[in-house]
Amino acid sequence: MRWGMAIELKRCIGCYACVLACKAEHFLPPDIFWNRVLIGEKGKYPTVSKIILSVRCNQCANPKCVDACPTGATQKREDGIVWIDEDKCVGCRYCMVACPYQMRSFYEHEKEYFPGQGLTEHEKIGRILYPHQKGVVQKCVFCKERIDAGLAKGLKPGVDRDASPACQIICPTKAIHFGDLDDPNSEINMIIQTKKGHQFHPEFDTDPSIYYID
Amino acid sequence: MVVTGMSVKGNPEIKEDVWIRTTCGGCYGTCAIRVHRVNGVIVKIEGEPDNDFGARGGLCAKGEAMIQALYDPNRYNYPLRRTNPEKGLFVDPKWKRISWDEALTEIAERLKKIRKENPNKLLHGGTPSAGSGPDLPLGFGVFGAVFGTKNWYIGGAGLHCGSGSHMGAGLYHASWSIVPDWKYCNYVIQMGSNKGTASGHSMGFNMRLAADARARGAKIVVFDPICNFAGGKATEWIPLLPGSDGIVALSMVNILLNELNVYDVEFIKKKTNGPYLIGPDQLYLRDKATGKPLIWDPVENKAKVFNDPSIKDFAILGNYTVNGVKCSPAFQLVKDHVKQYTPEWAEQESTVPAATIRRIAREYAEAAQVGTTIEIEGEKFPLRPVACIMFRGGQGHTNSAHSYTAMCLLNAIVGAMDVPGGTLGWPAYVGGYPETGRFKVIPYPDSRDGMLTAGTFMEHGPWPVHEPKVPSDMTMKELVPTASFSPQPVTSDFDKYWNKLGRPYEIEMAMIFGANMIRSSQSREITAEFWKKIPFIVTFNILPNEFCEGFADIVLPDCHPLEAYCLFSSHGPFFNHPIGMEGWCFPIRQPVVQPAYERRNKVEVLWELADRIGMREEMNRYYNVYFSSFGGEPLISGDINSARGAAQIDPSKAVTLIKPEEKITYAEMMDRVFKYYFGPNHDLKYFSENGSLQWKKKAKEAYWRWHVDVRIPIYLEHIAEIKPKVMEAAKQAGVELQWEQFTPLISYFKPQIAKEVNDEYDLYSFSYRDILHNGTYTMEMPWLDEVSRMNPYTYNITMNAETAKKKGLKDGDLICLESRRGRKVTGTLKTMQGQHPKTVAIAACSGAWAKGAPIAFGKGSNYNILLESDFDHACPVCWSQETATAVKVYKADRRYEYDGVRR
Amino acid sequence: MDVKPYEFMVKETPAREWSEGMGSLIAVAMFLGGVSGGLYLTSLYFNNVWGMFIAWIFALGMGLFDMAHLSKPFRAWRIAFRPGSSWISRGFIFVILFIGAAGIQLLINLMTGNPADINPAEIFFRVVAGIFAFGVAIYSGFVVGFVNGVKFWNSGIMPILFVVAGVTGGASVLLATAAYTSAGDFSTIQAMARFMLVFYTIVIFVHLWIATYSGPVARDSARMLVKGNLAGIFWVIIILIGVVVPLIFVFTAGADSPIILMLSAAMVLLGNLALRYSILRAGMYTPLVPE
Repeated sequence: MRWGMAIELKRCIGCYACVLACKAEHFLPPDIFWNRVLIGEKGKYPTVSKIILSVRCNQCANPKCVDACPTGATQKREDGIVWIDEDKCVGCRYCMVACPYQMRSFYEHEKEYFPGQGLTEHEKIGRILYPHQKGVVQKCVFCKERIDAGLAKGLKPGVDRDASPACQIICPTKAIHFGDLDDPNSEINMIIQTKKGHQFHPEFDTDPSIYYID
Repeated sequence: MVVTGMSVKGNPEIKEDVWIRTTCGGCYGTCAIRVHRVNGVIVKIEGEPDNDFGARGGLCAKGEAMIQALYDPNRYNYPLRRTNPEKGLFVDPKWKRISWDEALTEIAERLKKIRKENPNKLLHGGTPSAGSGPDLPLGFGVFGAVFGTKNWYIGGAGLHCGSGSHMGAGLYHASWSIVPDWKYCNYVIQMGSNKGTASGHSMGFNMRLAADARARGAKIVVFDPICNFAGGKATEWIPLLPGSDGIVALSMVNILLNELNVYDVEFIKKKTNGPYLIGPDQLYLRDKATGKPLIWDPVENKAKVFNDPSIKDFAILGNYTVNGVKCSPAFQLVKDHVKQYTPEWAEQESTVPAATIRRIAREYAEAAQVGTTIEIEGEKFPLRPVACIMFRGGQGHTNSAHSYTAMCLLNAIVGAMDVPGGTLGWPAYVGGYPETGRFKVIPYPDSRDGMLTAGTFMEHGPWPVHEPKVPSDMTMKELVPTASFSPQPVTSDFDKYWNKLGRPYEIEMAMIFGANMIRSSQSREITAEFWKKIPFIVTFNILPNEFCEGFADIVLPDCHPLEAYCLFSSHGPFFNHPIGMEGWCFPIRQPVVQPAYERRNKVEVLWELADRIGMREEMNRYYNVYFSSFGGEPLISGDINSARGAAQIDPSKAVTLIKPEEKITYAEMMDRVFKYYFGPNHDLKYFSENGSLQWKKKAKEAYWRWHVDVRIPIYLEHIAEIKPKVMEAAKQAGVELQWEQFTPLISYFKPQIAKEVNDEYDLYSFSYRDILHNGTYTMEMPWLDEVSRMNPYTYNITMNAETAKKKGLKDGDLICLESRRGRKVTGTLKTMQGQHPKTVAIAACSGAWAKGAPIAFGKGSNYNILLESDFDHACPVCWSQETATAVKVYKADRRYEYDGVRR
Repeated sequence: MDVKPYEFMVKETPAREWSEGMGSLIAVAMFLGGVSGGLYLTSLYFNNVWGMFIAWIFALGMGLFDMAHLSKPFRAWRIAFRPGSSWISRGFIFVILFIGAAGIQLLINLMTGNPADINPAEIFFRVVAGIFAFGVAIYSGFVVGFVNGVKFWNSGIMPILFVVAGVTGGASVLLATAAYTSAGDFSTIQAMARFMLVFYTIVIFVHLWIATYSGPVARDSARMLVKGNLAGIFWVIIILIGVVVPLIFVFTAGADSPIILMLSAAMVLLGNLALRYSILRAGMYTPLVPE
């Protein structure tokens, strides 16, 4: 079992729904992003095209961050998801430095979304449903809570919404696919093969689990 | 406890875990959504998966961010009264909290007085910001119509969409706007349109279907001065100067008609006024007896009335003589007329290379597959897998009407209108819910000339064409019947005309909902002058904005879409319902949380006001007629005050859903309407639980063009018809318009922007929609603000990299854009390769300065400050505003437009 | 270097975690560690107990700054748990063991009155401490070199640079100590200090030269140091104050000028610290968006 994603760049329009769905799903604090949309340009006027990349932790099979972490807080599960045990993190941030994709965030200061105006009801319930420990590193975990709960109820991640990552299910253009890279018959492998998906910056030698399709 | 469908850490106490179905209020697309409420708090919003009214489970960022608008601590929670008598752009209102009773008592008193004296003294209006759209017709529209005022002002006069678009889409598709049939289209041309990638109608289904089209290899050609949204997803992005789209379209029409000889003869003969005979006076030759237009039957060699059953064929070319009058079919005139629009001339005006125009025209002609058919659900339809669409940008200039109709011409000549693969209007044909036959909208031919007429309320007729009149209301629309939204009276030249007309009355009160008349309208200076003069202004708003703070006397706290009931998802299916073979859906909007504090649903507030001034009975009757008009027989068409062929609606034709004396709640009304349309089982309870009623669309509903005997005007004869009367009436009002544009032949006119650009003010500045924003309130939502700051273009001013270098400017510089009238806007520069070198652009409508919107404060730039508001800067035919302005650009040392703002 | 939020990983992106705020304290820790290890090793060679003691103090300082840069210092004991894969884990173990071994060694030395015939137990701990001193001096170079996302750091020369910097710093401190304590082998130490300063400078420039061949991002990092916004720190503090002026002193001042030599050592240390800091500041990640 190795969870992975395939993202169709032709479909993506850079609407940032994935970014906000993740923020909502995990009640992320201000200025913390577990996934991002990177915008660039290719070519010179007048032959120009826009580059839009939806990026997040690549849940690498050969993760630099896991090697770097001195306490073992950052670890890789059997299904490939790299996660952080908040109670073990000391905040040395070596994992953040070591990640060539720069997809980790450090939760340093507690901030209000409406500075000086207190916490909204939404922020308060977030601290109950999905609290974040201050002073440690956090990142995308492929919505492992949704996956684990979904599997426990017999649902299929990548197919059944409730068991699938929040960014995947919110995408209005259906650009994000999620599934088991180890299963040769999975839909995600078929998509990668037929649409010629390629790993994201394989030259970093981390064996990322996210493929992009041009 | 295993909790699915949400990420939970540890074992928190979950007392409530429900999903409520409703519609989104992020923009006026109103996609179907499901909202997650846990322990009484909304925690997540997603698209409704099994529903075509949206992205089938997906949703754009604005929708998710609604949570933060709902819980924004800066929201209006109580009625407020302004205690500072001074009004102005940066004035502190010094709000005092008052009770609802005090507020409504005063408002009702004033309304009563005005209604007795002259109801036109009430100015009402607003814009569908924060998803208030559905309340436009049911709330304010009805209230104003019944109250009796003709002074209805939409913020910005169509500045954020376009009167040319609406006029044109109404004329050609009986709809509000147009979209390619993404499912079957192979070749899309977008001119100043961001459909599928941004658009105020961010519209889930558009994003979804356009992505499918791209994924399967459809070619998408985008003509746009900037390569950002539509340009960014184009197969080929073609830069051009703002305002030149019309001549590019006309030169392509020319190439198809006169070089390639590719056009859909059948469509022109049967579905347009191409065969109608035009005399030397530029008007139809009409049958003496019936007054109907004549055509020439080449088989029987004589002139006949256009819908004569004995017609064997229609001549669309040639010259004929009928009763001694020399005439030609309109198509012949059009074909000859477009010869002058050579690709070389188009290149001169637009900077698009002539060779490129020729190539695109050729590709388009080939892709159109004229003559082919496709079978859908066992029925044969013409297949025309090409679509040319335009929205705000392409027509946002003083040549708006002609630019848009030129583009429609490109669709019309190959028959790519409301057929598979072609250009579709948002649904104009609704066959009705199968079980009841109600909720029906059927377009029909107008009784005189056989022209396509919408089967429901629409702003944009124009059939039957009204008689031009000397204006008796401040919008002055009676003067030009083809005008869509009017900039008057919020202009710098209004007083000139109103004085000439003898100033029959003054506005004493304004009632505005949801809008930010100051920031989303052209030129805040001109706008401020107007609003300052109005003695009493009442606004219904969710969040503070510059208009409320600077000018409102009473602010009433409105409900957020997540707190409110709402009946329609829009004005009607023609506004935002899914196109093509996407299923029908009638969604409910219902409160997911109860309105907190003293917020009230604005429609119910209007009803209470109606009670207080004794207007409720009339409103009830009007509602009966409104709902009955969807009941199967079109009772009303054209604009809100008109009726089909009759001045009054026959009350016996309206079903009594609300008894005149009843004072029901909004929810109660919804229950009755649901049952009326969809049967007794589909009541409010059903809709509340299921979120919507869905049923399959029939192919002939999606592709109705050849199922309704209607024609569209490729020759705008009605403009020739009204011209003399318009000119005469205009004289009385002292109005001078660019009369040469009142021509029936679709032509190119240099836009005002092109006339104003010179050596000193050398750049065309323009603004455009950003997918992250809608109106002026989205910058206040912290999530949207965060991601806006992470986008290179959203909050910055963009310029071509070479142009910037030549001017000694670099990325990150604070720059100032100054118009020829000295209006200034500042912002941070971001250079692009993907932008026309002679342009400078600002996305969205940012640059907030309201004290009550701290997140939005100072972010981005407000482009609209640069614009002018007068008839010189409006299209004379449809009154769309000139949205581009000539500027000079230089480094700034501070943000000039913030001088005087209180922090 | 001001990277706008929308340029994050779209343009070359500076490594921020260890060059801003509390995180930048790790530069101080690395510096103290490098000098500590270098000083102890050189002190061992010249049998200068004061040098060993100062090195031990530096190591304590390093421990303190390492803890200070953590946001959860009370969990620091966990850092010992991943020596199999993490260079910080290894370094942590080296530091603990060095402090322990050197501490015991110094204690024995104190208790035995620093005899000419060194107590065998002390010898044992000297050897152990010496091994870990080397580890302490070199490991931070591996910590930085491990980061393959920053091409400016990701070369084999990084650990060499760090250990050479440490030994150079150590040698300068030892020289000043020798002058103060009138140690017999002052001139040998002096020769070593001169040699290290020159060798250290060469290694710095070799590193920069290699960086210009390691891709455009590494090249830009090197540029930042040599002529960009870190050029001030580089030329004035690292080179002029950190090497050139001390070299002059070390060639002209003799055992009779302990104050000048102390000043010289302080300057070398300042340059050393600035080196760690600016290497961390100059590091940039390759953009994810193709050019």
